[in-house]
Amino acid sequence: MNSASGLWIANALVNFGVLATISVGLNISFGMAGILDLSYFFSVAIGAYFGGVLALGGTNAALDLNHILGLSLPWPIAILGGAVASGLLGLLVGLVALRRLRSDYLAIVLFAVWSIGYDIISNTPSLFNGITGLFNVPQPFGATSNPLTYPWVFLPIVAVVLGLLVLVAYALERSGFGRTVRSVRDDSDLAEAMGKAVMSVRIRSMVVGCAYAGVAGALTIFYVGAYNPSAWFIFETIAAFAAVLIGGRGNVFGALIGAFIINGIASGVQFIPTIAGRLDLTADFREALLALVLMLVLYIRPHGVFRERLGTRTRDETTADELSIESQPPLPIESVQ
Amino acid sequence: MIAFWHSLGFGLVTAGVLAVSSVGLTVQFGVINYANISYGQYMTLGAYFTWDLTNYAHLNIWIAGLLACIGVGLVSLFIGKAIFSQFVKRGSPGSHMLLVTFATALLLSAIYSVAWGPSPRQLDIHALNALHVGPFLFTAVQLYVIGLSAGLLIAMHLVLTRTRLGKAMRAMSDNMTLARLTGIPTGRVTDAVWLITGFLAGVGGVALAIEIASFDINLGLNFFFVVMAAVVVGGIGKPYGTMVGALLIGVSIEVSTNVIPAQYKLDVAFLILILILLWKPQGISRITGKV
Repeated sequence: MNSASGLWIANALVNFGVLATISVGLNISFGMAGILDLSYFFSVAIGAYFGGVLALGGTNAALDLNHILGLSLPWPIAILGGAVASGLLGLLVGLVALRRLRSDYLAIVLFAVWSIGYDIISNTPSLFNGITGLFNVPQPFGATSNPLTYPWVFLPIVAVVLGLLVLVAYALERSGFGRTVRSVRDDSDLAEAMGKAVMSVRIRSMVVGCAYAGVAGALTIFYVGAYNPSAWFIFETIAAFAAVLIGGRGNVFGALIGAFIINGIASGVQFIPTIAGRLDLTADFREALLALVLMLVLYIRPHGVFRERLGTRTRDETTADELSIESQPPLPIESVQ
Repeated sequence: MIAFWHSLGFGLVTAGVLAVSSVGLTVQFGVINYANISYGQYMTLGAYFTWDLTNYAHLNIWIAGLLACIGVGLVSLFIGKAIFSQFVKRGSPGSHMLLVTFATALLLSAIYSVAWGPSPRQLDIHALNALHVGPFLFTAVQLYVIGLSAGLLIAMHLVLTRTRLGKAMRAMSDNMTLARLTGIPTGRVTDAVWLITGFLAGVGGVALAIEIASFDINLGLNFFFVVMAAVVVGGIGKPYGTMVGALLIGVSIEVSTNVIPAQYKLDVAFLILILILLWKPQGISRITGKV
C-alpha cells in the first residue's frame, strides 16, 4: 500500500468520523425524539464557525478575513465552544418552536431557520466572512506536521472524540431518558398522560443533537483549516438523514453503519470517470445519488437495517407500527394543535 | 415618501407572483395532506422551460410561457404519481413524506444543475416603459404580471366554485374520508390537482423570473419559503385566505426594504412564517371565512 492510497484511506476515515458524529447526533434528535431537524446543518455550521473564531486571532484585514471574536484559544476549548454554541442555538430554537408545532410545520420552520441562517451568514461578512468563509484556522498539531500526512495526525483526534460521543449516546439510549424520549416520539399524548415531561425531554434531545452537530462542525473546520457556506448548503442534510434512516432510527450502532455506508457512497462517487468538458458533474451526481438512496431506504426498508432496541428485547416492527401515531398516513389537516 | 409608494407598488407585483404560486401550493397541500417541499422546484422549471422555448424555438414569450407551464403541470403529475403516491400507498407516515419531497427537491436540483448549469439567465419582455398609476410607478411588464395573476386567480376561483372538479377538490381538502364516502374519484381528482397546481407553479416561476433581474437554478428553492409563508398565513387548503396572505407578505417584503437592507427581504417572509406558525398556526382564514 503506497502512501497515496494510505492517505486516501486516512482522509476517508476522517470524513467517516465526522459523518458518524453527525449521524449519531441526528439519531438523538430525529431517531430517538422524532424531530425532523432540517436545520441540522445550520447547527453544524455554527459549531464550525464558533470553533473557528474562538481559535483564530483578531481579524486580519490584510487577508480580507473578517469575523467576530477571535480569541486564539487552544483547539480543544474551541471545539467545546463550538459544541456549546450549537447547543445554545438548539435550545433557543427548541424553546421557541418545539412548544406548539406538529411535525410537518416544525420541519418547515426548522428548514426556514436553516435558510435564514444561510442567508444572513452569507450576506454579512462581518460575522464569519460571508461567502468566502473562514480560513487560516490553526489546525491541531498543524504547525509541526507535514501537510501531506496530516490526515493521519488528525485521525486519532476524530477517533477519540467520536468514541466519547458514541459512549454518551449509548448511555442515553439505554437510560430512562432514552426510553422516555422514544415513548414521546411514538405517542406523545400517552407519554404525557403517564406523567412524562414531554416538552422538556424533546428540548433536551434537540440540544444534545445540536451539540453533536457542533462538534462535527468544529472537527471539520479544524481538519480543513477553512469553512464556508458551500460546506453546509442544504444538500448535506440528505446525507445525514440517509445515514440515520439506513441504520435504523433510535439505534446508535445503526447510525454508525449508516454513516459508513453513506460516506462510502459519497466518497466512491469520485471514482466514476468524468465527462470531458463537464467536470462539475461529480458533485451533482453525488447529490442525485444520495437523494435517490434516501428515497430508496424510505421505500424499501423505512425501519432501517437494524431494529431499535428497547431494554433487552428487540422491538417488533408490526405491533409498534400499529400502536404508534407516528406511523399513521397523513391525516386531513382540519386543525392544528 | 415616494420610495414608500414605489415599494408598495413592487409589493403588489410580488404579491401577484406570490398569489398564483401559493394558491397552487395551498390547494395541493389541502388535497394531498403533506407539504410538498419540491413545489418550489416546479417554479424553477417553469422559468427554465420558458427560457429554452424563447431562446431555442424562438417562440413568443406568451406562447412559450403557456407551453412551458403545461409542461410543468405534466412533470408535476409524473412526480406525483410515479414517486409520491408510491410512498402514500405504502402507508408512509407524514414525516417520511416530508423527507421524500425534500429528497425529490434536491434530486431535481441536481438534475437542473446538470441540464442547465450554474450561470444565471434572464427572461426579458421588452416592455420596460415606465408608467405612473396614481402614486405608483410600474413598468408595463409589472402590470402584465399583476394582470396575469389576477386573471389566473379569478379562473381558479371559477374552477373551485363552478366546476365539479373544483367542488371535489374542496371536499377532499376539507375531509378526505367523507369525500371518499360520497363517491368522489379521489385518484383522478388528485391527478387533476397535480396538473393544475403544477401549471400554477410554472406560471409563478415565469412571473418571478420576469420580475427579477436574473435567475438561476436556485430560484424555486429560495422562493419556496415565501410561498409557504403565504400558504400558512392564509390557512392550508384555503385559497382565498392564501390570496390575502400573499398580498400581506408580498407587500411586507417590499415595504421592508425601506427599513432593512434589500438582500434580507426574503428573510422577512421566513420570519413572518415562523411567527404565524407560532402564534396562529391555523392561519387567518377564520376571518375570511371557509372556502
